Amino acid sequence: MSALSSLNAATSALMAQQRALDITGQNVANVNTDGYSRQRVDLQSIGASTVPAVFSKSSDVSGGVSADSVTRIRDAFMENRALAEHSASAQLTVQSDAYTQIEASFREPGDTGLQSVMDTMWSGFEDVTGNDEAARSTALQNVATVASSLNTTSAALDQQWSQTREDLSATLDQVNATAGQIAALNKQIQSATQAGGASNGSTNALADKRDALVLSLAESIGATTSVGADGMVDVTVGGSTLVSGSNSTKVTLVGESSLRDLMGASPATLAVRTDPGGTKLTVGGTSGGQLAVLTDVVPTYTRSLDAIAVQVAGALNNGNTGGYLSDGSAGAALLGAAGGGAMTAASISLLTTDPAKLAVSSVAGVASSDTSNAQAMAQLGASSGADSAYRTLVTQLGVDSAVSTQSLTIQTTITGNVDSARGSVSGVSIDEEMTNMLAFQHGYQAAARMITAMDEVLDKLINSTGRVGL
Amino acid sequence: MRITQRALTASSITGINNNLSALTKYQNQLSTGKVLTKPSDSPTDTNKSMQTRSGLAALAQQARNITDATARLDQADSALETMQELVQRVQVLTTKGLNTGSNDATSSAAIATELSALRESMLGIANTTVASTGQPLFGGVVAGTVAYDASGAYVGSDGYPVTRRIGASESIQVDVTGTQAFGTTDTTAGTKDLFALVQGIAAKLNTSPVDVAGLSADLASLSDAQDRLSAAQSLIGARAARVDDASSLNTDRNLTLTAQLGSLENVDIPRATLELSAQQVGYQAALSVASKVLQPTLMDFLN
Repeated sequence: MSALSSLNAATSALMAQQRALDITGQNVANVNTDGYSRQRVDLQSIGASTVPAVFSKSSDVSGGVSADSVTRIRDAFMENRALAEHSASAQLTVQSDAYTQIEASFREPGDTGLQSVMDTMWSGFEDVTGNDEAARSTALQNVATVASSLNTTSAALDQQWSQTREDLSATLDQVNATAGQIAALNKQIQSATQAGGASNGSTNALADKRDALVLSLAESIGATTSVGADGMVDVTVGGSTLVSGSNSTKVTLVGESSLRDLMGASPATLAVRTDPGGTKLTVGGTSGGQLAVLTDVVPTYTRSLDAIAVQVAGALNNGNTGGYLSDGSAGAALLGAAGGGAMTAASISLLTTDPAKLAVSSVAGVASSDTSNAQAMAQLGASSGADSAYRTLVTQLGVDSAVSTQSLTIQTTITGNVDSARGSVSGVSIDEEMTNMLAFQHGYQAAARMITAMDEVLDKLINSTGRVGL
Repeated sequence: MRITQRALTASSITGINNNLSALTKYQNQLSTGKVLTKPSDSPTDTNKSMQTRSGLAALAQQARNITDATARLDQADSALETMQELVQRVQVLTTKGLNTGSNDATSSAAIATELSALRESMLGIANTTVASTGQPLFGGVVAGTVAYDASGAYVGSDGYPVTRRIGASESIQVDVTGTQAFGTTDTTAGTKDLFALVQGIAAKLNTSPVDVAGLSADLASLSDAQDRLSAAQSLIGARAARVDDASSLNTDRNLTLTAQLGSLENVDIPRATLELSAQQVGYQAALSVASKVLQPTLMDFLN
């Protein structure tokens, strides 16, 4: 133990408190920074040699304080949960938005929806009371309106599908860019770690930046992470590795490029695959939601709407072929598929524009002004089940949409809770930093006083010793 | 749990947002006047609302059918009424013609001429057309525009009743055919319709000497024709009464369904206003709490 060693201890204390103050300053500066994890200086006393020497002994009193280690404070379990919950939130948001858009396409309940147009069509047949052209013309026009209303709704669904496919491609482009950035950051972290940066805190900022990117990747594709070597993380999506250390794989969207192609394909091949490799990925997050909209939600409602179109066309065609024109000849089909393909909501169209082709009469063979078949056709909406099938479709849509909105509300709460739990671990508390600042400030002042005291002691020793009697 | 400034800010923002979105919901309801704007607002109510709307559309159509049925029945009723008066006149003239003692050939011929003229008017009435379609009222489902041709022969098409739906499950026949109202001409059975009968009477009066026995028989037939007209008229009257009932039923049902639709879709204004005020209080509380909590830190108390 020497006077100089005390000076040394005080100097190390000055440096340590200053470093601690630096870190406090950094924390306060980043109090509002997204993704910033608070840092803490782990002060450690410098003790005597832990391995006793054989021939010499070190003094008991230690050599000051060390402030080399700066820890980034975060809860790894909570971070992983955050990835999962953010992914689920993003997926549900996309689905809920998709349902809202489909609801808008169906325009129910209201005066412009298919139901209202069909009501007008069915009842319009009863307005045909004789051989007057105007009423027949209106009745036929009503049928055309129903067909075009089906066309419009189908086209809206079609457009939604195409838009969602474009969105998914864009999301995947963003995923590729983010995965590349994560790989690059991994590499930097590796270099810094190998240079000893893990303990002195120089990798912390890089790790924060990378973890923020990982979170955005979780939101966009449902990524999860596992800890790799040298402070790096590996990112996996549905069991397949997306980022491994400093390498990243690209993902791409392959498969059908139109809604009708997808509905015609069995099984559909639309999927997110790795490129190169072509491994099919089970994606979550925004991509998962978009993929579900593409392969399930929109096709389901389009199929239901197609079934309604087939039902309406079948009922009307049966009704019209079962009746007779005013000249006594048999009626023909009213509705058909445009382009000659299968009957769908997109292809349904009126085959004739001649009001005389409306088979309003039940009198075969002779000309008459009978309209009893038109009266019968007016009842087809209820008797063929087309009306109730459509109501079932809309009710189902309402239930699906309400459930999806409800799930999103619940998920948002869960995600919020996880985020706040995460924030409570890694967030910066100004009060805490202020208290720390006081402590470090006082520590610094005390160390400085220590040096002054040593100075006075040495002064006494050097300048005043040996001068007895002078 | 460790609470940080950022956590406080985040939870304040979440709370304020929730309050604001609840406010928007009620503001939306009050400004549109609707609680049901999309199926997910309430799937069951949507189903009911769609059924009610269909019901209202059907009722509106039935109301139009009722108007049409009433018009046809009224028209037939007044035509038959006029026909009755004409038949009475024919009876008077025929009785006059039978009185051979006071009639010479000239006056018989004059009666015959008047009868022929009456027959023309009767045919005119029998060929009355429905204004909306131009079809003859008494012609059944005939394709042409007359029920009786120029010679007085029936050209209508029987066997296909003209019906109108006046209720959800109630259809009513709205026509009376010429054969029903005016009888049929059948040479084998020896029956004559009203117009052939009048023509026959006129022909008999034009021949000299007048066939008194024949005219007496015709007079009896005229009375039968009158009975037939009355029967047709009362048939129409009975139908008109049913249509009237259906009409008031239709109006009642329309009111019920409109009220039902209103209760499904329209906003309950007092309730929504109250909810809006409650949410406003909540929103203001959230704002004021946020302003109090986010402001101070330890810094405010350190020198």
